[in-house]
Amino acid sequence: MFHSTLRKFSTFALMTVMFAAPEVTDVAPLGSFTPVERRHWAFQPRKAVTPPAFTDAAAKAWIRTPIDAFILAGLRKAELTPAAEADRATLIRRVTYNLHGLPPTPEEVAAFVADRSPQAYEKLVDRLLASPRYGEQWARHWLDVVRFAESDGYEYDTHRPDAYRFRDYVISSFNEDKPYDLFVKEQLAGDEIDPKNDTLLVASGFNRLGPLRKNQGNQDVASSRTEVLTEMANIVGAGFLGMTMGCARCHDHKFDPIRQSDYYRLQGYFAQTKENDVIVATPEEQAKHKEVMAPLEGEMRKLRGSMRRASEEEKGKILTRLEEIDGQIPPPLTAMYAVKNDTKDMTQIHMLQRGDYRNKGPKVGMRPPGVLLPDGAAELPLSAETPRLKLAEWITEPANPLTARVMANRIFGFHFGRPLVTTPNDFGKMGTRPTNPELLDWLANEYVKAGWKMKPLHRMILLSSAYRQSSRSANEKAYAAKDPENKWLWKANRRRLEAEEIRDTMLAISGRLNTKAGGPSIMVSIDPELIKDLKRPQYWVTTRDKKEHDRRTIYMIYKRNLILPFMQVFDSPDTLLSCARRDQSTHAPQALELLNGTVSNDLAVALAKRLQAASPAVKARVDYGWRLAAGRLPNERERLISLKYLDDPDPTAATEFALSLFNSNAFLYVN
Amino acid sequence: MSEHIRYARNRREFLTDCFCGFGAMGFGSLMAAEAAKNPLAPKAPHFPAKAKSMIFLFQAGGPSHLETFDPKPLLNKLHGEKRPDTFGKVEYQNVNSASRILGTKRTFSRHGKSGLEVSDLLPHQAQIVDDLCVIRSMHGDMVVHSAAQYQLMSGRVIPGFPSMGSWVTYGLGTVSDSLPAYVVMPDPNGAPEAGQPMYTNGFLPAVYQPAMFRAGKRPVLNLDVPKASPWTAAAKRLISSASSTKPTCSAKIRN
Repeated sequence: MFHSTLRKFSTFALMTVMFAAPEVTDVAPLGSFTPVERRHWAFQPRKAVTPPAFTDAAAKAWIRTPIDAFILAGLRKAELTPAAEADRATLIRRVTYNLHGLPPTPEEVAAFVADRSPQAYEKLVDRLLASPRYGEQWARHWLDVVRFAESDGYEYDTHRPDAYRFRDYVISSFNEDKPYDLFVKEQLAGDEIDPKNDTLLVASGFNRLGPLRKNQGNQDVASSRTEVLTEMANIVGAGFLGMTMGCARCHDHKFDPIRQSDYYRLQGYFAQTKENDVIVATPEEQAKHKEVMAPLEGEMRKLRGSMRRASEEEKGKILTRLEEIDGQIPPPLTAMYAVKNDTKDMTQIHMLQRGDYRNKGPKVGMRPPGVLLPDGAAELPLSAETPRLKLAEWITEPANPLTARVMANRIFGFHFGRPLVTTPNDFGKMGTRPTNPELLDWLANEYVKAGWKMKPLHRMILLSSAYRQSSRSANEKAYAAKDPENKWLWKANRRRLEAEEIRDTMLAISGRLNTKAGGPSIMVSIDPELIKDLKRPQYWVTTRDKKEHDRRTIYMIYKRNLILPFMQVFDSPDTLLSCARRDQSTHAPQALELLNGTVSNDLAVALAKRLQAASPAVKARVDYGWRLAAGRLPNERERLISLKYLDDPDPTAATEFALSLFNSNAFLYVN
Repeated sequence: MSEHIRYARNRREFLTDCFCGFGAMGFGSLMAAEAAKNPLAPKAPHFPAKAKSMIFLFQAGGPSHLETFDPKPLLNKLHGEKRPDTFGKVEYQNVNSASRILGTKRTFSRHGKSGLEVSDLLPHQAQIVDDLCVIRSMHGDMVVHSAAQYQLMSGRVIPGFPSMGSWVTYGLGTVSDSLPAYVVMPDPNGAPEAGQPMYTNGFLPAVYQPAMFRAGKRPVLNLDVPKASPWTAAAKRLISSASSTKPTCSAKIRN
């Protein structure tokens, strides 16, 4: 009697809850945060800062843009003085690499050095910002952050032959200076904004950029889905918010006020999100594909069906045959990798104990991280319409304390070589605090004020006196002891060229660079032993047209399980996790790559030919070589050694000279 | 003595002397950086080390533990039967609820002072069993090969984290300045399922990546001069100058 009453009562209670909130029964608590947790600097609203004012003549003479005022204030506090302005040849080389990832031509250097107009530098910056080469360089930074690659990773590392469309989307977004808030919305929710718009569909492929595990055999669907959702959610934290959300997948964050429920509520925005390959192949191509696929699929079905009754021996044979067929499957039809919402087959998001999909805890809906909301802020049901657009709108609200700071910090870092927060993906407690918090807030404010456009911010930074400093200070030793990391920017940071820049420059100065933009990625011929690193070597198909091999490195295929040694030795990222900043390590295999590698040796021949064609005079050739490679004339010693070296009957001397230019520090480093 | 007829006495000088001393490679800055901070400088371990180096053989497709060092009496008892329900849901690749349990045909006996069980497959190893340390408590969190390989090498079932070789190099550095700190010799028959990411440096700087010793004619990439390169003749000249008493550059240039 008692029991049945209880049962009735609980059924009734359950029904009440269901009627009130049909999607979110047995919900995880909405949570509250202590004032101490909320106090962390990055969660505070941005301050309305004004640049520090200076009255002395030295300061007034140095300050060109408000950025300078902030930097000068920092320098003075640390009892440091800025370095002198870099010479013009250095400056044009620095800013051209910074914006284009390519060197200025000797003619451009000469013209800039000779241009005595006070607007010369400003004109240069504007010209560089307007060139399509700009997008190719800055897209690279963003592609690192969003771990863009053109294969799935994991065991099969299946190619994503149409991933290039996303790369091209990013390049053109930078070139047209797309406002960042729109850029975020398009990537997170392009399909929700307009499912008929191809560009937006391609942009929504952002949600599928992470590595993807696909195996044969009986995969647990729920396990794979959890991994997919994890990839989608983690990048939102790292890429847009500078929050290590991923740490809260298995437990409450150890250091930051991110509850495990916050993590799963972030995943909630993706509960409806499913892959959507929008086929762009012509009907003929589709018919042809079907013709090849139908018999293969038929056989596979039959084989799988016969597995049950097969003996152990037969099973082995069947598996071998299945693998064989797998190898014969033609490349998928050309498509746009997009996402779509599927409310019918939505994933119910639970808090998962230790992140394990089998240990389901309470259900959650969707909501941004609680520490950025008032206590007890409501969540939305997982079935809410346009969930990702809602998330994107919250991220890009001008008042969001993180978004603008995180992006302004990235931009500052890619210009100065050192971001204000040196952990650009982590603005939490374990990240570093900004060197100059006022400057960071000021930049972020300006960024939002300029309609989230990046080019005005670039301009402001590039025109500053701080940016134009020499990479050597008159007080080098004393300052290096005081501020070894150059936190306060008492000089410009010298940097090594990045992997792409090294290859692109060798192509450019040897006259071989093919500047064709966009389109499917290129596969160059590589050492056969390298292809063995792949589980499926058949995926490496060298691009037939050799001219295509000489295109910019951003157009070369980037496979997760086969990062080319040339790229790898020069610190290109592995694209498995978001890479906020590339390392600049220095080690012996780099020297071996440039000295003995096929890329440099092949292009040295081309550069030698170019120099030979440029002038019959050896001295002119030497000078031209140095101007191409280093952006300046050789000094006396360098010229003498070069001349002596080329004064050799051995015809290989010219090639060796070209190769040695590729190997020189003057080439590899930007001052 | 002119610096051009200085003979290379070590690696550093050899590289400096290439191309008559100018453009001393990115190597110059390596040395400069090394003076300030060498990422490979040996570091003291937390505990006194017993070993100087380590060889880790990962033999994908090697004989099963069940037939070598890890007897499972229950498995043999259940041979030919269906999986008991108490084993939980079927979550293995290519195994379904109808699958039957396969016991081992090997026999095990205890050997040496340790009394370690070794199967009859390994009669010789059984004699040196007291020199071995067998770990039987290894456990994988995911059943597919690639995930298990990532977990074994990097501690996680997903790729992207540094391999143990990279971590060891990062944490301990190397006492040798003339040999790579971390070497990987991949299977010449092709990569194991997990591929490159299982032994690379993940998010650590490239300096902690393994030196790959591959099969075939070029075991280490770029150690030799490419065949097709017109540089070959010059390389020979350079190498002979480094290893003999000949000066680095031709006589004409020295004048």
